[in-house]
Amino acid sequence: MKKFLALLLAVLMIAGMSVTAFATSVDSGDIKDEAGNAGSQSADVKINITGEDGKPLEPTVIYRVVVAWKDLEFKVTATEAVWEADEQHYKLTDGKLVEDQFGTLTITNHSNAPVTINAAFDGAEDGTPLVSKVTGGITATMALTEGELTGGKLVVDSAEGYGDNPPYIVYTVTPSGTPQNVPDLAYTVDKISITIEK
Amino acid sequence: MKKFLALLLAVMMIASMSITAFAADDDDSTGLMYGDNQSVNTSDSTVLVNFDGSVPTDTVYYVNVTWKALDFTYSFVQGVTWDPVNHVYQPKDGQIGSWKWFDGTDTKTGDASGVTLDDAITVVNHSNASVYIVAGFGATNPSAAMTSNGVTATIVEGITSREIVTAEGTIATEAPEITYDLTVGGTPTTDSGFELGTITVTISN
Repeated sequence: MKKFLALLLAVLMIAGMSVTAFATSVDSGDIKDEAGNAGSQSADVKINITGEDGKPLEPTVIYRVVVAWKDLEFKVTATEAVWEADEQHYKLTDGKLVEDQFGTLTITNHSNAPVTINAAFDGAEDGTPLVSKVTGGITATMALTEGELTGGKLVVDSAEGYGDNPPYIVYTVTPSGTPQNVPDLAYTVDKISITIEK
Repeated sequence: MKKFLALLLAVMMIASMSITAFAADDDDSTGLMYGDNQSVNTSDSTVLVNFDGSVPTDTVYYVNVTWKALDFTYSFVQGVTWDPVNHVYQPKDGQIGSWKWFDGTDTKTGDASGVTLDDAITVVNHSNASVYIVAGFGATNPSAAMTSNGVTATIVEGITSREIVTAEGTIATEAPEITYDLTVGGTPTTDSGFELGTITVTISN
């Protein structure tokens, strides 16, 4: 539209009083140019942030990252559990997982700088994060369900500008498999560790 | 006044309005001069031009919008600290920062609460009809204010449709116009620049 008006002005200046040649059309109550564009113009409001000296602000970084674990306890049913002393486990009859179970771990960044998150089951070898672990016939698998890897890293944005909705990522942990020989009637599959880096 | 009448005659001739405005009747002892389709009535203080009947004219819309640089800067004082609970920067010794507008030539400074840019938008109507102007954030459902990252920009005049009267009867350099002031204020919750929003000026008849 700016170009149109600029062109219109230029032509008006050249053409003197011959304004009727450049009449804009009127349709449905709106003024439009001859190409049918609505009679409007727009401009952006830009905000710059600096330090006192006019240079970029370099505030002290304050780190605060909150990790919330939820529902990482899964239920199993069985008709019978027999302790096998030689193997030191319970042998389950008709053991199965209750359906539609999952847990989550949510990591929220309240810092004024981004943080990098690493989350995995303990026991990783050769540096590859373990995203699943099997114990007692049950596999617990963790998957990133909110958030994205950037360059192979999971970076959570600075909380600056997010107001009451700071940036976060979510891992979902889902159990699968058939429980048969379990070490106890309440046991740990394994531990998930989270590390937070600048 | 003579110059004005001469100019008027010249314009009328160029515009091919077929007005024989000055085919004066020599027998008119009152001093009035009559044309075929208009009359010119002179007196010491007033010249009136009236067209007999309706003169077909097209409405020609030409509206010029001028924007000042909508570029605002907030400068934090040294030593402000990030509050990770409330997600804001906290003042240092009661000082937090100040606002400034700068377009490369002119500067207007404000305090921590904000700065108002007078005549941020000027809309001039060169049309031979009135036009109506709405300026706001968002083209479809415009609002007078926009907030992002703790910063609020407000169009002082609001989003009420404002009329600019026809340019008829004015000279080009004194065409009717309206202006909008823009206030930007608040404390940014980020240390990086950003685009706050887009103001759209909509022109209708």
